[in-house]
Amino acid sequence: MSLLEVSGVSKTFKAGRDLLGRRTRRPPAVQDVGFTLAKGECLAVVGESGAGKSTLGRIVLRLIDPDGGRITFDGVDVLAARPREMRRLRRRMQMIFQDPYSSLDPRMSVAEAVAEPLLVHTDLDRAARARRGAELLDRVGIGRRYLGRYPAELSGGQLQRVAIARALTLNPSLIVCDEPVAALDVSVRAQVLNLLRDLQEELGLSYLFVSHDLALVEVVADRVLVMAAGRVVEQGDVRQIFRSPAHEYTQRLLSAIPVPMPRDSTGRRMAEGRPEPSARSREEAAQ
Amino acid sequence: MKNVTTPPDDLLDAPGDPYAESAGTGILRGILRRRSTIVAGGFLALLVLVAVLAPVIAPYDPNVQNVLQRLRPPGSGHLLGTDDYGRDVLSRLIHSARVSLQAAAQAVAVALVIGLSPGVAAGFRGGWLDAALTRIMDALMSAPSLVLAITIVAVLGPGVTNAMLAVGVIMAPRFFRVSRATTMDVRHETYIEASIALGCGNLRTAVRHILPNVMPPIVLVTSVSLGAAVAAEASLSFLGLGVRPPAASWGSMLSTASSNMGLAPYLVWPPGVMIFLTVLAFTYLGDGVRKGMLRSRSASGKGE
Amino acid sequence: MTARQQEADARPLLEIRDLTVEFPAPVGGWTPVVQRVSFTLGQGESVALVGESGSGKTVTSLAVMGLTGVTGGRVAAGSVSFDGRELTSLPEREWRALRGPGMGMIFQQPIRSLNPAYTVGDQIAESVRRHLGLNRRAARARAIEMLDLVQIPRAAERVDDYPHAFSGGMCQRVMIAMVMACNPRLLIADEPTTALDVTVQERILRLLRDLQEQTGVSLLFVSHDLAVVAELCQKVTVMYAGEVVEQGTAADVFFRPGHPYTSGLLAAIPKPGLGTGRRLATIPGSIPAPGLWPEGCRFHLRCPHREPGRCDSVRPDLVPAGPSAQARCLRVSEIDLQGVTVA
Repeated sequence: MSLLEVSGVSKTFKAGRDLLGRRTRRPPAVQDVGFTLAKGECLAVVGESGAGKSTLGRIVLRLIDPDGGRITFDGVDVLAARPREMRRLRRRMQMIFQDPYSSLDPRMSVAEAVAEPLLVHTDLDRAARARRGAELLDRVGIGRRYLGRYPAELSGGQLQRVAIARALTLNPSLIVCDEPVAALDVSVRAQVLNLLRDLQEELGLSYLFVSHDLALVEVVADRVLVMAAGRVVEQGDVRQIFRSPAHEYTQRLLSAIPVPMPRDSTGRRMAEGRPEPSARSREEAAQ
Repeated sequence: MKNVTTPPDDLLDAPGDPYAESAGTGILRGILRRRSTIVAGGFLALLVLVAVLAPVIAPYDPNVQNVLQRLRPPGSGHLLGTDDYGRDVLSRLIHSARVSLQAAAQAVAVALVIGLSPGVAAGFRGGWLDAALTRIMDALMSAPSLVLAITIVAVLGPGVTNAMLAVGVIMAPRFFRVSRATTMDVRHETYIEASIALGCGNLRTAVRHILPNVMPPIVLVTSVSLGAAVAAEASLSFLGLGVRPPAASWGSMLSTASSNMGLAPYLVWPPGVMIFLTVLAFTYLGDGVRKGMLRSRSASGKGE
Repeated sequence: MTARQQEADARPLLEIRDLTVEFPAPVGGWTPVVQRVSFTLGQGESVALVGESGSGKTVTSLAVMGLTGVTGGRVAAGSVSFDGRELTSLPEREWRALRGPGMGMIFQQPIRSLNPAYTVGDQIAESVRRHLGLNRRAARARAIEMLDLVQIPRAAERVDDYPHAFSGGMCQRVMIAMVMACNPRLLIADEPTTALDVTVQERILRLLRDLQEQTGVSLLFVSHDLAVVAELCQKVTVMYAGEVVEQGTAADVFFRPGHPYTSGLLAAIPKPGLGTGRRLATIPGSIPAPGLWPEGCRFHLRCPHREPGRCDSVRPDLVPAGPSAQARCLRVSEIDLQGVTVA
């Protein structure tokens, strides 16, 4: 049974006015997009900047109201929900943002940030909230000693872990991940991706994973939705998309992924011919 | 790679950061780095102390007249001399500090109430609310301030409290503008979007997430406005629209001094110097606080 | 070895020796951010400076451009020599003559690097008029020629457009045109494609390769992304916590890394086509900030190969780690590290 069903969603942002006061037109950011997301599944939304993928992620959470379409989350019509109802729905659908440096309030300690969802949505007392917060920090692997710290004192990877803990506080079923590792260093990126995968397995989470980086998508996603200029150009199983991309745009995206294989002076890729165990040759060189 | 044991991530987190300090102490340290700020702050703290302890430390009753001792120059008995009713200038100066500071605080409190929360609301909600509030504040700002103050006092009657209400109304647009502009900046930060995504209501988002981040520039405006309010109170009292005799404020003392300029020129100095120093101290303090905040933010580095 | 390369080896265009750059510490005094960094860049070569945020790679590249003071730091020790000329003691007036015809730099945010108030043609023309002394008409012709060189279609029309009319990738091309218009001998590119989409990145990298072929400009390519570096550079210098931890030819560094950090970085790159459901290899922990560097090897806290009692107390030196590579690891001859493998 699908957790999230989206169909026919479109959004055109209101444009400004030009010097003569005429409304300027903008192309639609998202046009007639539909997909379903099953429980425990990870659907990646990929595309280049301006493709509308981040807008789509925000529409699903109704951070942006679409112009039309239908969104059903666990049988509830999201677009028809009234503000109070919407806030209740938000207990079960959370979001992780791209830039961990700005997605946490700089004047809130880690403990406050992680426990805030409980304060907003439950009647738990202070001690219970603190206990849950500490538990979550342990779970995302940054440890309780960071509870009293402020965002400015943490590294990007640590901040993103705090943001993940905060998203997990209320045991959601869906998390929209908007480029969750794009702002992180390479060595930290893999840690956070692995954490997201472990949590998904353990808690049965569904992810809507928005990313411009196809190389990452292959590792985390079950299915892929390729967007270009607001429209879905291709949708399918991740293996199939990577093995035999049907759309020309998807092929271009795939072929543009840089490969860590150096080129020789003529520009051709070097294929390492001799995969020798190198310890010995290094020893010789050292003498 | 298989025989390599990889330690868990947590073990290897960066060791304790020796520069780490909570946001609050960081700002405080940044502020205290500058000597001019310490001097200004120290002066103002001393002034507050004098104002609070005025009845204890003033050598004479400030309002007791002694016709035999009129217009005595500074010297033995009366350190700063006496005025045209024979009242001790030093005692009046000390008691005036109380009046002036209290008046300034009243004015700024009024301005904060009228300016801050509408500013945050306008910046956060935007739309018609923003348009309406901005119009009102613009109208208030475009009215000539002294005329406006005199009108308000004329309607409500003279007295420090009414005068300061007028000054507060005049200052409100400044608070409104700063809080509105800052709110609009903060509103576009991801953490505001994050708090909405989390299910925070508008009120919680505004009070817990926006307001604390709007405070730094407001603190600066508050400090500078306190200085301006001291000067404004002095002006209004000088014109007779502020403090009512026999009570004194620095402005009314200046007024007394100016009418006795020929006989006792020394009377101008004490209130004049106090007004000057106090306004200057508030300005320096505000400036130091602003720079301290900037510094502590850049020291934490990231975030930008 | 080609003749061109021999010439390059004879006298490097850029030689950095024991460069130490310091910045004011928040608690007073100075904290080293880059320590004793040395590397060379030959005529026509492209060298990558690889590292994560906090490694000191950008600080190093800014020191080469003489911009350390602008950012609030100071060169505390070491030398930077460009074409045999010492730069660390160069007066500002001579610097201005050197930037432009000598070396140019492009940055991560192309849109922010251009002045929105002038047309791109004016901005290119300004630099050639100042540095090459061309008149207005010749400068405009040069601007069009340069836009054409960086493969902007309809260059003669677009020369009068303002930066906002260009996309991010096109702005980066304009930046490259602006820098290349003065015929510099060294081009420093600081994460020039990080803010761009993959397909645009691919085209910019190809452009840089073409430009090098056509003009023989040397390239110092600063990046955190080894996969991008592989597309472009023959030599690689890997930095970690303010020092060089490994350097060598691209083949050495990628296929036979000598430092566990390099090996870890290579393993952490997701490689397309290897199937789903894998766990990515990680380097635990995070890079320590300047001033918080640990005793001994600066990487030892995160290193899977560390030897207690040795790696945490002895400062390693750069030692030979292959035919033409060096690594800053005490256990270089004892451990066997994985490089990239052919898929």
